[in-house]
Amino acid sequence: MKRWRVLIADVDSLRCTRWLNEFAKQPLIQSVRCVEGLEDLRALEGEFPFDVVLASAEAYRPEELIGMMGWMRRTHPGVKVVIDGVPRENGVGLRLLEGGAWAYIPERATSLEVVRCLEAAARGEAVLAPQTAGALIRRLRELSLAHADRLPGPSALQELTPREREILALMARRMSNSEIAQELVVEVGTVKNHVHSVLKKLGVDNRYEAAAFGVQAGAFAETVSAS
Amino acid sequence: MRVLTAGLNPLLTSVWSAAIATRPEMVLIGATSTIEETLALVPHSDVVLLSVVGEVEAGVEWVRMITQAFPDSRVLVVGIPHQEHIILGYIEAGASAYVPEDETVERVLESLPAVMRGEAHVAPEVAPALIGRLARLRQVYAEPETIGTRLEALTPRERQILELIARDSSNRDIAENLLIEVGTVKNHVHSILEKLSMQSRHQAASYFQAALGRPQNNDVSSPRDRTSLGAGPEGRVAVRGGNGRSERISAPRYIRVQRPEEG
Repeated sequence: MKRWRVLIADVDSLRCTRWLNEFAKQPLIQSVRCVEGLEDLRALEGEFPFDVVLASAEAYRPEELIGMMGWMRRTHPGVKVVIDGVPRENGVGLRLLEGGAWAYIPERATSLEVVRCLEAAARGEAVLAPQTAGALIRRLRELSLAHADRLPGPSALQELTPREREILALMARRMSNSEIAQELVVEVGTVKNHVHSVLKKLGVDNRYEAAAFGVQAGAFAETVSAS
Repeated sequence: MRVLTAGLNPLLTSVWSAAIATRPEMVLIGATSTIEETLALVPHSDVVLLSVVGEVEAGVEWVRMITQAFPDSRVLVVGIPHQEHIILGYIEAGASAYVPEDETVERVLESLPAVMRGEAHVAPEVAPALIGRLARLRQVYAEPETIGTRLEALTPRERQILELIARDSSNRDIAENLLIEVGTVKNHVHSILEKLSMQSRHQAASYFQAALGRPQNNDVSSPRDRTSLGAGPEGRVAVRGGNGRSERISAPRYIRVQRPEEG
C-alpha cells in the first residue's frame, strides 16, 4: 500500500506533538508535518505534497474548516481531509461531511481510533458510527428529494468508459488536456472529446467539479492504492 | 415492534416472516408480494422489511412508492449487492437502512430495532460514496460559486500569464516579457482557458479583472480571529516537522491575486 504524507492543522502544539510521536510509529505514514493556521495550507499552493490533511475541530470553527475544504476541493481534489475532535452532538459532524470531509473522528477519541481512521482513508474507506450513518441517510434522502432534477444520478460514474475514468483521474491530478494527451500518448483533440463527455455524463460544468465528484464517488480508489 | 415483510419473491418473504415469528418483541403484521397489498398494510407497521433479489429497478420503485405514500414509514431493504450506486439508489428512493446480500439472518433481525432508533449500518467501503454524494448535493444546493475561485486551479505560472493577458498583452508580448517561446505561451493559454472553462482570452481577462476587485475567496482567506478561539496573542508558532525535522512554512498567509503595477 502507498505510504501517506500527512499534514496536521492544529493550533494546539501539545496535541500536534502527540500526533507527530504517534504517527512516527505507523508504517502506513511516510511523513508528517504540522501547520498552525488553516491559511498556511493556502500558502503551500502550487506544490502540495500531502495525501491527507488532519484538521482539528477543537482548533477551528466549522465554517473555517468548511471554507478550507472548499478550497482544497477546488485546488487539490485528490487530498482527503479528516477532521478530528468533532463534538458528538448537534450535527457538526454531518455538516463537515457535507462540506467535503472524507471522514471525521469524534472528540476524546483514542490515538488508535485516529490511526484507524487514517488507515481506512488510505484504503479509500470511511468508518461511520450507526447514529451518524442513520443521520447521513436521512439527510441524503432529504437533499436528493429537493434537487432530484438538477443532479446526475448516483450511477453517473458507472456510465463512464474505462478511458474516461482514466482521464478523470488525471484531471484530478490537475493535469491540463495537453499534459493528459502526453501521458496517454493520444491527440489533444481526443482528450478534449473525452473531457467533454466526462463533464456531460457527470452533469458538472468544469473539470475540478468533475474531479471532486470522482473523488467523492470513489472513482480513484484503485488508482490511489495502486500508485 | 410491528413488522411487515414485503417483496416480489413470496418464498423469501415467508422465510423472513418465519424468522420474525421467532422474536417475542416483534409482531408480524403481514407478508405481501404485491405493491398494492404492501401499501395497504404499511400504515399498520413500524418497519417494512423489503427483501430484494437482484430486481433493482422494481425494488427501488417499491421503496419510492412506499415512502412517497407514507413519508414517515421506515423501510429496511435486505439483499442489496455491495455496489455503491445501487445502495445510493435505494437510499435516495427513501430506504432508512439496508442489509447487504451476504449478511446473516441475525444481522437483519438486529437491524430492525436499529432502524427504529434511527441508526443504520454502512460498510466502510461504501461510506465514501454516500458521504461524497451528500457533499455533492450540498454543494449544488447551497454553494454558489464565489467569483475568483476558478483562479485557484491555476499554477503560479498560469496566473502570471493570465495577469499579462488581462493587461492586453499578445502571446508574443508575453513570450518576450517572460523570456519563453511563443509556443510555450500558447500551451499555457490553452491550459488557462481549459481550467477556467472559458472560450476566449478576453473572457478569461475579464473574469480575472472581476476577481481582482475583491479577495479571491470569502471563506478562509481572512486571517483567523484568534481571540475567539482562545489562542494566545503570540500569533503562530514554528511549523513542527516529523522525525526530528523542524521546518517553517515561510510563504505568505494566503495567496492573493497580484495586482498589476500602477502606471
